[in-house]
Amino acid sequence: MRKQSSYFRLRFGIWTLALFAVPCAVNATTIAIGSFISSSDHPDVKELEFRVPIEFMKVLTIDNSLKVIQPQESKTALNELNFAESSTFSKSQYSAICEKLNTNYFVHGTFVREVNIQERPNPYQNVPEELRPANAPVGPIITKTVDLYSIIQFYDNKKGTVFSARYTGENKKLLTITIEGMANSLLPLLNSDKQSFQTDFIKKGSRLILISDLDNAATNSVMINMLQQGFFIAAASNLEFTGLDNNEVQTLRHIATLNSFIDEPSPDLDQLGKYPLFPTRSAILNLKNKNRILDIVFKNNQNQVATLQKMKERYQADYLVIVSSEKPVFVRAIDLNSMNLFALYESIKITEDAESSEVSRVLSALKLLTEKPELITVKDIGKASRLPGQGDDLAAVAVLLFDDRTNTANYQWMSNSLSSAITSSMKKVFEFNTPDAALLAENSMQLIKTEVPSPVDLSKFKTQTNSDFVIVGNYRLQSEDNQMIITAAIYDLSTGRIIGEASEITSVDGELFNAVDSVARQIVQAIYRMATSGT
Amino acid sequence: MQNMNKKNLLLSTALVFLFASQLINCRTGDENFYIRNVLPANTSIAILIEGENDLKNAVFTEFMKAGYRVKAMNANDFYTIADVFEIKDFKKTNVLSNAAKEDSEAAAIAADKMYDNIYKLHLYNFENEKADVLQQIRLKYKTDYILLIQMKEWQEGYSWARGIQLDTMDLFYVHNYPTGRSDTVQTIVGRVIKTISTGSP
Repeated sequence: MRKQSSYFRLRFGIWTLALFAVPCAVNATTIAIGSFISSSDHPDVKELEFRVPIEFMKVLTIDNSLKVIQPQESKTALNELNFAESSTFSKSQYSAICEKLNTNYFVHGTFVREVNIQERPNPYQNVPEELRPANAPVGPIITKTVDLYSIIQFYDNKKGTVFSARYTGENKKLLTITIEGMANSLLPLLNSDKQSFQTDFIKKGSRLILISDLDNAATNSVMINMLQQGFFIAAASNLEFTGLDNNEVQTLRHIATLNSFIDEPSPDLDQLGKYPLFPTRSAILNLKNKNRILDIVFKNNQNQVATLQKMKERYQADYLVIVSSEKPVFVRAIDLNSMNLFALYESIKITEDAESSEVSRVLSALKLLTEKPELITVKDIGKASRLPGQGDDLAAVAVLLFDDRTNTANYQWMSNSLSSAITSSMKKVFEFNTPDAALLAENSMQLIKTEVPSPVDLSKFKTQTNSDFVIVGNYRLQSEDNQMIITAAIYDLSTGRIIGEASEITSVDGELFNAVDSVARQIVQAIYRMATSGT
Repeated sequence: MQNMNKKNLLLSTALVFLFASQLINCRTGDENFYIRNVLPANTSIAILIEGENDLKNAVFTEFMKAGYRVKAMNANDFYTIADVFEIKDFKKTNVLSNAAKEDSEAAAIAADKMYDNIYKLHLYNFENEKADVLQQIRLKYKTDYILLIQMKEWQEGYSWARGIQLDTMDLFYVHNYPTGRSDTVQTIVGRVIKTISTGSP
């Protein structure tokens, strides 16, 4: 006997967990998930638009003290504020969004797929044709590279800062990289005790540049300690006569590296609100056509990276560590070999005792940087979608064979391919049960062959197969232009209502495979919309 | 060319003052030190020390007596660090008024952004310039080691020394020494010499 309604039983990790998280979150930190928009229509990137928010919500719900505002609610707030979905917002826009949603944090992102085509002259162009080797290329040499990356923007309304992180990966891997990256960087930032992220650590035997606000005596003590531990100290910083004071070190709080950027978002100028944070090829090209303010801000970020690269060359250093000894003790650590920010601590909690001194504060910070951090893995994220005590009480989703209405034997393979593709896409995103195969085979024909299933048929199917949802579809050929039309629909068997539909018209060639994928994605999107809207 | 030499001179001089500088808010404590490799007698070393000429002479003499070939690189300084290499002066930098003429608000924001960045870049570039100056010293004085000694506060109970290996740009020696009532310039420098020549004070 089932105790809950089918929606609750459909245990999409996030949806269910979010529901459970809310009651625990009376005085909770609140984070709103915004849209993750893609700058490309390419399926690889487009798919991430709806999968990343889901996976990210799974990550966030690891921590039951967090109250998570779902993308749909954020979208509504943006609409009410008349803000278009954007890759970034100005400071006042971010504030308005947070106030509207009554949240401390707002996270959103962008996916970018850049195709770069480079044309080089043919090396044989001046060689007489009869002298060219048989395999000599014809015409200019064209090379095509694809850059795929995601940029996550994390706005902290209390501090008024935006932390951006860029993750780069190849097609399918990008999702994993992005989710793990977000888990490791953003989740600790939400914890008010730590306010930190750390993805790597300083290995013994490496050479570091240490910039701090310590006086010379304290600097010596810290350096002696590090040298004794087996680290090398580059002869930079803290060797000058007055050194840097805390105010000066504070200016280094905001930094730009190749993978991360932390700063205050731009004020209300539209142009500034959209300046590119990371130097991509297209961003550089676009700047040529925009105003010089954009250019200045963008180049500032590039300059920082270039200057740090020079520092690496001069001192042959592996790491740059910036640490403030005055409270709150903050840390920035950059791997100078990769030019990536790998550790950020906004405020290190130091135990107050008689021995607590500026030296011990800095050494505490350095100790964190030299210890291997515990990283959150995708496996952990997967576990987060499981609720203890739920047992097998998952939604049972029946994906039926698609009805072949082409009247030829050429496309019979699509019947099974379409249902397999949908099942496979759903498994990547949701947890669900599959009804017994024998029961399905025995009882599904009526639904497969019907154009629009009646409530009676659906109810009967539910009883026969013990399913909660069913996905049915068919495909046919248009005789006039030989185009294939694929349609699918998902029904909630407890209400008999249609939840979502998918359709695709495609030429009967290589595009057919893309169309199959597209239908699968549309179905998953429909389920996701249903899950996140709570209807 | 002449300008270049002047600039180098300024930078070198700046560095001398930079390293051999005053110690503010110094703290007393136990003696502690680290040394990675010892420097045998007859090694060429450049010594940077801030202070009056008689103090400098006394320090140089002790090192020469110990057999080190002392490079006379801060024997005669006319410039002060504040004249040539003061980070804080850059806070007054005003190069932004024409940064963005499109409109005043935009100009102000661009100026703010640019100013922050210039100052930040300067802090980083300062380290880069310092590395260049250290390499110039290495070539000019034909030495692979620079020793920084701070004795300005020694009568108040505190001295320190640092050693830089110029070919690797590594810090190979650091020494904090709380000076006692019985200490003199000779005993303090003697302690540094003993540490760098034997590995322990």
